[in-house]
Amino acid sequence: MSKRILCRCEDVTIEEFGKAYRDGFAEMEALKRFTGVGTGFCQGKGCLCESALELARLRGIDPAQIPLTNIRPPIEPLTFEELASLDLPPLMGEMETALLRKDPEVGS
Amino acid sequence: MIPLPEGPVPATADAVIVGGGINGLAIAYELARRGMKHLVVLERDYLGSGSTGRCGGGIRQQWTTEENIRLAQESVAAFERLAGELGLQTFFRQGGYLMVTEDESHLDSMRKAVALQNSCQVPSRFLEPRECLEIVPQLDISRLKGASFCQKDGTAYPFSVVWGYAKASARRGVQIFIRTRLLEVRHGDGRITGVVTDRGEIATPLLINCAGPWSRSLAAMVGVQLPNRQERHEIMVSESCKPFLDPMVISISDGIYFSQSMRGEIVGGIGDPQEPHWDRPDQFDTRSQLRFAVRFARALTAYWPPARQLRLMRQWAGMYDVTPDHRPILGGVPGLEGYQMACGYSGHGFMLAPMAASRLAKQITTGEPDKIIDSLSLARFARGDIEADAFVVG
Amino acid sequence: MADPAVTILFEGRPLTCRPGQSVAAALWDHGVKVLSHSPKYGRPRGASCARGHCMGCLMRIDGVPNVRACNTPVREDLRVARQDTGAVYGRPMQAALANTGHLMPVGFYYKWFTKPTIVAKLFMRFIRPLTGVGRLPDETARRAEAAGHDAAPPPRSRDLGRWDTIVVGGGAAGLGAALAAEDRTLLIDDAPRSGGQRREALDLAAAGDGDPLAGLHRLRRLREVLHQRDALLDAAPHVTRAAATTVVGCYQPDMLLLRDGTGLAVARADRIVWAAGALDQLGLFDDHDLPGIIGPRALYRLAGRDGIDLRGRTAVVWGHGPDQWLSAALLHARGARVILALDPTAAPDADALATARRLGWRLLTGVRPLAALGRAGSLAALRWDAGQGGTRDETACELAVICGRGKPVYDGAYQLGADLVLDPLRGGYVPRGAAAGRWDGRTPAGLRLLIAGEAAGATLADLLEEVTA
Repeated sequence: MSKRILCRCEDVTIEEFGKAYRDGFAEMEALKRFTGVGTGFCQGKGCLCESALELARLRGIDPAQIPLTNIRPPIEPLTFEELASLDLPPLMGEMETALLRKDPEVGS
Repeated sequence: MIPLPEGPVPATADAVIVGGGINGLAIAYELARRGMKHLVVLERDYLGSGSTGRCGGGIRQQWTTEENIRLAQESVAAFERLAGELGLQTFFRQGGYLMVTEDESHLDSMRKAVALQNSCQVPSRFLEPRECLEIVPQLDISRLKGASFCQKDGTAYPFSVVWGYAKASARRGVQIFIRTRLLEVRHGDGRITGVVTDRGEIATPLLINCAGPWSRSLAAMVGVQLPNRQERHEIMVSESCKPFLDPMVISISDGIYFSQSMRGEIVGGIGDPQEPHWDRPDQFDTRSQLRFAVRFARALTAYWPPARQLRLMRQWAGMYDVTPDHRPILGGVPGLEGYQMACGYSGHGFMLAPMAASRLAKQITTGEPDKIIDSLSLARFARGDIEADAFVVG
Repeated sequence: MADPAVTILFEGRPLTCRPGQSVAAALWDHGVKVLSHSPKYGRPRGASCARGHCMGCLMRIDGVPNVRACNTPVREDLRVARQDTGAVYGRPMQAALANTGHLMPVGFYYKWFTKPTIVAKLFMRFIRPLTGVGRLPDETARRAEAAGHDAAPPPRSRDLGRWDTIVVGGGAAGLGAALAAEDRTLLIDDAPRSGGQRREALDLAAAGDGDPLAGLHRLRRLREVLHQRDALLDAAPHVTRAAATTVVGCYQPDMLLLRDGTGLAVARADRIVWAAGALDQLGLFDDHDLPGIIGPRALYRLAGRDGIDLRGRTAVVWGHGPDQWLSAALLHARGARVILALDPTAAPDADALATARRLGWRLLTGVRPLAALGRAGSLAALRWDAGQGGTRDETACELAVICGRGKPVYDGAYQLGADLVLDPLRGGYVPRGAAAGRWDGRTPAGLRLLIAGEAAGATLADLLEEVTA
């Protein structure tokens, strides 16, 4: 049977996404976790825009009003073996500069 | 499924609960279940966006203080029936908790803890390192000195639990407002009278502080000083593989914990003594750090070599709301009527919330004193009556 | 051509491949287009993005599960297998689901069998073995599987230090930014040679029979500009190049995590230029996930560096704009039979149309893909919507290149702290307030960040305007 796939990694169709929306998972954060959209191997590269656009269409609002869900590092999956091979010393400075800044609530 | 009202908040409410994480929603549900009407939950972002949705979802009974053991034990019983009660799967799976140590010096307290847990009917047991291999094949036991294991401990999916509570609360008339900020608390003459939000004002005689890392600053708004401080903790999720790991593995020595979720991913984190502590929300920083990913990868591959070829997909950070004795603060404060709190869980709010919520709701609706709530009240710090729980990990 | 062929073992079968090819390309050349099946519905999947982003080509390679075949070069004796036998729901259930989907609505595992407690517990026990994709190997078994041949060495890491400027992306925008920088600059490019995703395609098309680029003036000009900028960079002492290097993560305020053939590296900079281009966007027609349907960027990789054999194959190139014409020219140069399907908005100039006629490309106009039709798991034809209740024609093809609006690569910019907004007219998430494919400013953490080119929402047509101006 033919299907219109919205998220390939988690095999979510457009219809299923709309159904979850009508089910009360009315915003991206809940939809993402309920349907799995954006949580698979591509981490949203193939479906985040598409899902947000579909949600905007379902809600009848301007896509710019859909808040962007957090896109956390890394960008590509990294094996634990690769990561474990990184030296810590060059990273120490990162902690000082990034974490101890007094920016108003950063990250989310 | 979860009707989330938009527009202005109601002008009056019998209680306003601040925080749309597991604590706030569980308390809303428990109050509504006990017949309270006109309840409002305020959430600054989306449901579970604070600490709940960022946690590892672990639920364990292996603690070193009796209150924590009792609360956790009741919570495990609650998690066993929660799916049916809330009408949504929680993905609660009792794969057990394997707590390991590399330090000879921990063995004594570990044995004592097991004895205390057993006296509370928690079926934990002490294990020699080689016995761990029966529970986690391929675990590298070369540096281990001992372990304790409880099969009845487990993990659940935090978001599902949050939605379940939200759904069950909404069904009982609780109004949940997301993306709503609390701006001010109205109080005077020793009582709470209302709150001001960015969606309008609510007159209310009861304010329940379930704001997690923000609870300290919320308490300060009504003149209550909490001894909590906020710590940043990171966590990560790997790619999804077929089931290969049953329990949550947790090390008291270096603070790593990891388990395999019901989606097949490794979910885990590691504590970092170099993480700064904060006491003001404007200092909170939940950006991801490479340092965490590297430290976690090193510890994970050292404990469990098959993870070498597994891939990290995503890392994120959340806040622990930590009290001086690593135990929660529950109940009210003398001299301020209508103020209650459930905060300071020190990284274990997800596992302790269901029962803490149930006990607190019972005390609020019936006025009957509760022994555990009393022993976990804010007053304990002034009394100097504190006993820290030694098994705080992550 | 001097390199001897290598042989990989695909599910026990020895296959001869050209060195330098990816595993996915080698399998394509041997007629294997279905590289995996999707987790829930068991839908056939293949190399779709050819850049390591999608999960179509996840395979078990040398005992390691979930390896992307499109990013893995062939090596002698490499063991490659599909890993989806008995995937998430098992074959019989997948077959049922594929035909009836609604039997198991989305999120059913949240809602079903919640009570009584014993049933909920049994349900958890039932679904757990169904979860997950690849099977994690026993560490000793994995080593045994990889032993005895030229296995990948253990990863090593490096610290590339601090730079004045790091430019991410070696396309037209990135090369331009690297040339414009006057301080110590590191240019990071995921291709072995700078010039962006289109350089190799342009070179191959220019060398094709009948000179397909002859009538495509702006693409010819783009090729000249890319070569020119590349040569200028060669002579620019301030620029160091990191070729075949991918940005695999960004950490605030100013750190990039990189990966090349040897392992990971970190680098930091006072100023970062994010010019990482765009991703293919295939549109959401029925069964668009069938193997054989790709975007222009995937084609440039597969027909370019990977050199898949396209001689005599029928390929449809649908869409509008310069990527459609470059794709057609590349396919022609590679010996494919080209069907150029113009969407209703396409407005090619007379010289382009003359090129199509001269080279014998079949031309369809005013069509949109409505559905893909498969045979033996991969693409066999496209069905068209000709608009206004028109005919629903089908065109037989084994490759379809869908040239839609590119989707800006936003993840690194976001991770560095850029404020992004969803703008469908610019293809996806773009920096708020970006003007003319460019956003220049400071992140909240104080990094000087420039987002340029397709990553800032420009199209290839915009870039061509710029280079031909």
